[in-house]
Amino acid sequence: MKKILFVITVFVGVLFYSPFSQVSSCKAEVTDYLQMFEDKVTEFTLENGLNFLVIERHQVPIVSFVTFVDVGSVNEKTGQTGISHMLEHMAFKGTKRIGTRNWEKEKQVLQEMEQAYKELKRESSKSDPDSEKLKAKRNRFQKLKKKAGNFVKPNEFSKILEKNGANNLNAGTTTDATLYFNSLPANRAELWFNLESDRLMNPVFREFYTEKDVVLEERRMRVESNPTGKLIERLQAMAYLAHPYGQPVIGWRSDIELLTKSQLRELYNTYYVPQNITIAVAGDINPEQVKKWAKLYFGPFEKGPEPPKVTVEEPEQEGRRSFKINSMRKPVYVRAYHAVNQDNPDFLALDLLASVLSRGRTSLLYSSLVQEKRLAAKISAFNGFPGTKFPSLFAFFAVPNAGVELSEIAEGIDKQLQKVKDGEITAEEVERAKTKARASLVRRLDSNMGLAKTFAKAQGQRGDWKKVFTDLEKLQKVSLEDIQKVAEEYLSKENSIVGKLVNIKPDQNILGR
Amino acid sequence: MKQNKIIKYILMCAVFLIFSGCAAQTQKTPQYDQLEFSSVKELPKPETESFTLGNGIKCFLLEDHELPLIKVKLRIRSGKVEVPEGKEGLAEIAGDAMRSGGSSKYPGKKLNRILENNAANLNISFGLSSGKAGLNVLKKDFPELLPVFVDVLKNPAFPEEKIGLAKQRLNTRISRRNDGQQEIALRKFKKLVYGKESVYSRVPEYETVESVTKSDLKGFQQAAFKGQKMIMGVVGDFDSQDMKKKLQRAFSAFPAGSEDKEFKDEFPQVEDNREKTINLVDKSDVNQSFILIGHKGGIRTNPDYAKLQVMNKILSGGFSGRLFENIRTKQGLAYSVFGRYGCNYYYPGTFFVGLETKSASTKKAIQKVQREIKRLQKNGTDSEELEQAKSQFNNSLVFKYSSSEKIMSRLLHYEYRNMPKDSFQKLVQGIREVSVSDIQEVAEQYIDPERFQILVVGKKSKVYPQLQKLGKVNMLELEP
Repeated sequence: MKKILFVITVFVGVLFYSPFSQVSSCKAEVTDYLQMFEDKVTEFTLENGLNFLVIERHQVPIVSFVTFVDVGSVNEKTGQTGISHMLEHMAFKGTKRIGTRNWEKEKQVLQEMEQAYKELKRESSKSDPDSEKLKAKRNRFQKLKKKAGNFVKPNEFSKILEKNGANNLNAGTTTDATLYFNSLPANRAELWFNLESDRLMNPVFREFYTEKDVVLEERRMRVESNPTGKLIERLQAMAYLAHPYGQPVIGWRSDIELLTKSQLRELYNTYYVPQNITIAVAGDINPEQVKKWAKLYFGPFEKGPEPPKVTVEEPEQEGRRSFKINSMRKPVYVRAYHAVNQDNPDFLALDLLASVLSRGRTSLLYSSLVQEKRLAAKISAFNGFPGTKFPSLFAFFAVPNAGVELSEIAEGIDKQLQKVKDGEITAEEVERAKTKARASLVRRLDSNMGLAKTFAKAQGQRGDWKKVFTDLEKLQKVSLEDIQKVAEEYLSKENSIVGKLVNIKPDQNILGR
Repeated sequence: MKQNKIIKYILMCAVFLIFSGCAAQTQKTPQYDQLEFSSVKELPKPETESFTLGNGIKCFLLEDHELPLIKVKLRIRSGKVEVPEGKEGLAEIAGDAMRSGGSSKYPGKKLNRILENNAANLNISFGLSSGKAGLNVLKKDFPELLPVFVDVLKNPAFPEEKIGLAKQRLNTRISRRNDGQQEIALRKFKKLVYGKESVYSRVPEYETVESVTKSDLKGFQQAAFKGQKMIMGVVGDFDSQDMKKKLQRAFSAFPAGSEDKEFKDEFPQVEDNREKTINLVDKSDVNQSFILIGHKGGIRTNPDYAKLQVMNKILSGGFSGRLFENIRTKQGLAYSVFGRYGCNYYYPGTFFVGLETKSASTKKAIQKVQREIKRLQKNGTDSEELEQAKSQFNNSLVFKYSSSEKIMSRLLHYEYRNMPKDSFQKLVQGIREVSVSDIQEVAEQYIDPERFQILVVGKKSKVYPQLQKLGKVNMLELEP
C-alpha cells in the first residue's frame, strides 16, 4: 500500500516539476515515472484475444471498470449512421437471463415482431402503399410490441448494479470508440465480471423500437432544437467528403428511424468480438483475482473474424469551404483545418498550439479577444475534432460579445495565428503550455475512473497504454519552431472550413462595447 | 406474492441454464444473485483538525499525502441575496472583477502569469446564498501563492477596465438568455414558484448591470470578507501544525466584523403556490418541448428529510427510478427525464419533474408525469422497491468517502449551515429506518398536484392546442 502511495506521489512530483526545468532532465524523470508505474499495471490477454489491464490503487475499497470497444461512428455504413450509438443504448437492455420474465417465450415474440416490422417496412416503402394493408401491418406490429413488452423487466441490468452501489454507471460513443463504465465497492467486483460478460456475450436487443424513440429525442435535444449542435454537425459534414468522420455520431434522423435489429446484430457480430475489446480495471483489486474471474467469465467469449478496417482517405481540400445556418439565436463562429491523427508526429505540436492559443487566461486568444479587445465571450481552439484515430481537424469555436460582428472575430483569430506563424510567441508561453499538459494528465489520472479510461483508450486504440506517458515525454521535446511549423503547414486558408450561425432576427439589444 | 413469483422466475432461469446448457458457456458460472460478497473493508477515517482564528475564521484541516497538492476552499456567508434591488448583477460582477482585476500588488496580468506558470487555479464566485473562493496549488508553490490569494481577496483593485469587462460579459449573457430552452425554463420556473419579484427569482437586466459602481463592488466585497463570515477548509500534503501557523499569519489580515445581522435573516419567506397553472413560452425554432412541473419544495432541517431522499430515489434515482422507467424506457417519450423534491437550507427548494419530449407528445408526457405522481401518493411503494432504493444508497456510501476532498466538502457544507457535524451520519441512519408506509405519507404530505406550476418552453403552434385541453394556458413573454 505504501509503495503505491510512493509511486503516485513521485509521479505527480515529477510531472509538476518546475515549469522552467530543463527539457532533458524532464525527459529522464518521466521515464523514471513510467518504469515505476509499470509495477502497478498488470496486462494480460485471454486466448480469445480479450485484453485486460489491471491498475492497482488500494487506498479506498472501490474499483472502476471500463470496457473499451474499438467501434464508433467512423465504422458505420452509409444509411446506417448512428448505429453504434444505438447499440450502446441497447447494451443496457439485458441478456437472455437478465431483463426477462421468460426468455423462451420472449424470444418467440421478438422473432415474430421482427418479421412484422420487416413487412411493415416493405409495405410503407412501396411507391403507392395500400392504406388498409399498411394499417393492418402497423397494428400487428404494435400488438406484438406490446406483447413483447410484457416479458420485459425494465432496466434490470442497471438496477442490479445500482442496487449493489454502482457509481458513475453509464456509457458513451464517439466517432472512434464505445465505452461502458461504472465503479463498484471493491467487495462486489465479481458482480461486474458476471454481468459484463453476459452483456457482451449474450445481449438481447429487446425494446429496440421504443429505444429508437429515446434516441430520436436525444437527437432533438442535442441537434435539432439546438442550433449550436447543428453548427457542429454541419462543420463535420462540410469538412469530410469521403471519410466517415463527416457522419454525426448520433446519426442522421432518417437513418435512426429506419435502423433494423438485424443491422444491429450485424454490427454486434462484426465488432463486438473479444480481440476488438479492451477492459481496464482500476482500484482496490488483486490482478491474480482479476485473471481468475476473467478466465471464468470471459473465457467462453468466442473469437470472431478480424473486424474490417476503415480505408477511405479524405482527398485534399484545395480551397476554403464556408457555410452558414440562419437562426433565431445569437451568432456563433466555428472554423476548422484539416490536420492529422494522434500517431502523426505533428499531433503533439498541434496540441501545444491549441494550448498556447486558448488554454487559460494568459493564452493568446483569451488575452487578446476576450480581455483586451473584448470581442468574444468565449473562444477556444482544440486539436483532434471530431476524433483522434484518423486524420482529423484543428478547430476554433467562438461566441462573440453582444453587438460584435463575426468578421471581427475572424480577423482577431487571424491576427493571433499570424503571430504564431511569424514566430512571435515566447519560450515562456510554450513552457507554460507544457506545464499545463503535464498537470492536466495528472489530474485525469488522479482517480480510478480517470486511470481506467485513459489507459483503456491508449491500449485499445493504439495498442499500448504506455503511450500516455511516452506522448508526454515527446511533448516536452516540441520546440517553438515546431509549433510555428505546424501552424504554417496546416492552418492555411485553402485548408479551412468556416461555419457561421447567423442571427436572422434584427438584434434589438446591441449595447456598446 | 410478487416476491414469490420473482424467485420462481429466477429458479426457472437457473434450471434452463443448467439443463439446456447455454450455448457459449462451457464452464459453469454462477448466477449473479448467487454471488457472495465479503463485507466492505473498513474505510480510512481521516482526522480533521479544526480551530478558529482570532478574527473568527473557522478552519478545518485534512492532511492527505498522496499527491503533493494543497487545496484551500473558502465559504463566505454572502451572496446575491444581499444585493439590493436595482443592483442585480453586482455579485456576479464582483466575483468576476476580483479574479480578473487582481490586487494592486498582483494586478490581473501578473496574477494570471504567476498562477498559470505553476499550473495553479484561483477562483472566486458568488451564488445566491454563498460565496466561494478557492486555491489549488502544488505544495511547493503554496508558500508563495497563499499571500497572493489572500491579497486578492482582501485588497481587490477593481480596475475600471475589468469592471467594464465583467459588465460586458454579463450583458452578453443577458443578450443570449433566450437562446436555450433549458435556461429559459429554469428562469421562468423560479418565477412561477417563488414569485416574479422574489429575491430568489430575480435576474440581472441591462439597467441593473449598468448601475453597478466601483464603490458598490468594494462595499459588497468588504462586507463579505469578514472573519465572522468565513469558513475555510484546507486539504492536501501539509503538516497541520505548520499549516495552522501559516493560516494564522496570512488570514489575520481580515477584520473580524460584527454579527449585527444574522445571515439567516436575509432570507424572506416564500408563500405556497395557491393554484395550479399552465404556462407556455413560445420558442418557434424547436421541435421539442422542455417541460417543468412542480411547486415550492422544502427545508433541509425538516425531520422528514431522510424519507424525502428515499422518495427521490424511488422517483428518479439513476436508471432505477420510476420516471426513467415509465417515461423513458417503456414509453420512449424522453431522453432526459429528471425530478426531485429539493431542499435548501436558508430558503425553500423546489419540487420539480422535468423532461424534454417532441412537440407532439407534450400533453401526453405531462399527463404521464402527473399519473406517476398520483400513483406514488395513492399506492406508495412496496418492500422490493424500497429495498432497491435503500440498497442503492447504502452500498454506494463508500463513494462518499472516496477522496479527502469529498470529505472536506461535506464538512464545510454542514458547517456553513451551522448543522451538527454528525448530520450525514444521522441521514444515513434515518434512511435505514425509512419504512414502506413512510413513502406514501411524505408523497401525500409534501407534493400537491393541485398546486402544480406546469411550464412548457416549446413551439406554440404545435403545443398550445394540446395544452388548452389541460386547462387555461398563460402565455409567458420572454424578457428582451
